[in-house]
Amino acid sequence: MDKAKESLDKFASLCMLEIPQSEREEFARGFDEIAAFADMVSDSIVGDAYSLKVSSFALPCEKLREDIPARSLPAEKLLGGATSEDGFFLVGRVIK
Amino acid sequence: MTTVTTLSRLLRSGKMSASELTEIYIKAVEKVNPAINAYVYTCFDEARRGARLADKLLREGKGGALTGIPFALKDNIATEGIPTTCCSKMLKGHIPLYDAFAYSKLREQGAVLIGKTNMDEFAMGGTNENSVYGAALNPRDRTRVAGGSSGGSAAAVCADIAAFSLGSDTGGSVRRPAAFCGVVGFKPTYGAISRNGLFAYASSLDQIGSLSATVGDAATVFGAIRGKDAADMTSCAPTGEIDLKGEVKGLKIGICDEFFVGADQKLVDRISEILREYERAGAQIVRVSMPSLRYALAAYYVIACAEASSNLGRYDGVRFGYRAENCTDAAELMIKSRTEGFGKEVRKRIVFGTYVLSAGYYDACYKKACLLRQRTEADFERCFCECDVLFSPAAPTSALPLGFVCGDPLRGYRDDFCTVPQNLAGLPAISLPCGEDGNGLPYGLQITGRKFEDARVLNIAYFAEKVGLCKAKNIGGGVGL
Repeated sequence: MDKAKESLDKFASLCMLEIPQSEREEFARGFDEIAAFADMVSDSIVGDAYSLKVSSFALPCEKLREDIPARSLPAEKLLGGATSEDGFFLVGRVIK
Repeated sequence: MTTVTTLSRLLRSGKMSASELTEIYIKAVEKVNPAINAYVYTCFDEARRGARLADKLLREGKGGALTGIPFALKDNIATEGIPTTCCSKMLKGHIPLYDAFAYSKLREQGAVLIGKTNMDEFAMGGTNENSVYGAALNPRDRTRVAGGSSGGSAAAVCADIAAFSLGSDTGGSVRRPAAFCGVVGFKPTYGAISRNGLFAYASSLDQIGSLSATVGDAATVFGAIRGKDAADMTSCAPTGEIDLKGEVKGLKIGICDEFFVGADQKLVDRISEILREYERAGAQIVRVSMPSLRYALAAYYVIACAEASSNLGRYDGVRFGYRAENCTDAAELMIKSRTEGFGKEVRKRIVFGTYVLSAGYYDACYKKACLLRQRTEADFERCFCECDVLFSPAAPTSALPLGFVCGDPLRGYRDDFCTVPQNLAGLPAISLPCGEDGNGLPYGLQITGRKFEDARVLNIAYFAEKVGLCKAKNIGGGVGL
């Protein structure tokens, strides 16, 4: 887990987050606490009887719905929740 | 405490109109809410409009059990035109474009939405202290937490300023606040109620549930909102007729010692007393064991955080929600918006979820957690070969003091062990108020049943209520009808 702590910045950047300098110590401590669960999981013995499967309750209907086009929400309403112009969401430059 | 059953009788008899009842609730909310912070948004104008529609339905003889009944929704259940913020800066002022399936079912039946209730940010927490609006306080003792994450929903029912409320339960977020506030909290089988319109935390664990004064009310609400929804492929058609009789003769109640580790002795004694009453009524107590429980909590946090890191990826500051200012490019916009918009606990869980899903840790953490989840499911199945339901505490203690978990976050995680296994296995479970500690704070008894035996769980819980073993306490100050 120490390796994970050292890599906190890497994991934070993978999920588009930053760890502010002022929170760094507290964050690492909190991360350590929750990361203990990962240690517990990796140290556990599951038993040979279990192999990864799609759990039965995750798909109780056992059947995917047909892919039928349906009316979607109006574009102007969807764009209304953010900075937009001419039917597009606005963001800063993507390619430097 | 005012019940849905009482109010429905009042309204259908014509002794009171839905509009009059709504005004009573509005006054009670205005009076009580500032002291407990249960509601984070009230929609009184919409409530008055809803009440007028309900009165029309009642006059035409088309009223049902929930027509005209004032209720509250957790702030992560989408309401068209009414702010839904998940109590996060990320979604402050966000107004959804559609209604959640469960809410639309309640509206169809003429129930009257009073407001949105406080919660831990994005449902991540067990005390309601991770809310951008500040914690909801426990109406039984305002120096204690209301529980989380649906703390506002539980507090509103406990304080009698909502006849019932909806919450969401990913690892105990309905049952735990119900236990802390001394009300009934029901988490149905995974898939029994559509998640369409519920802001996702961990999709394979999330479930909408109810908070109410009685088991009868929980059954009424569940009957109104369950069912198949084309927009949620994991939702299921209703199973089992809900007919509360409280019959327990021949019932086999399983007791699993692993669920009682660290529980207050007074709570253990109270559950023993309750079990004796069930035995007197013809039930049989069976000892069972679930060795996998020691890993269930760890597996839960690995899976829930992994799913959260994926689900919360949509909040990027571009399409909706908080948008950071003065950013030079798209990447900076996303990073700054997410860093500034999410609170500490949410950011911690997202980073942890990213960590367990990353190359090198996926097999050792995430995949293994999924296997442990299957083992928990198998353990429950084995138990249910020997018994019909399991009785356990809903939380090992009564409500914790405010700030307690902030100083010891691990304690906050650990205390979820009573409620997390049911979410891992997708089982129905209910928390009932069952006695008090030395300070007069309520304890919660949890009853867990087999998948899709929601009606049976409600029936077995109803026995405890019918014979007076488990009853929500009226603390006064609210509507009091």
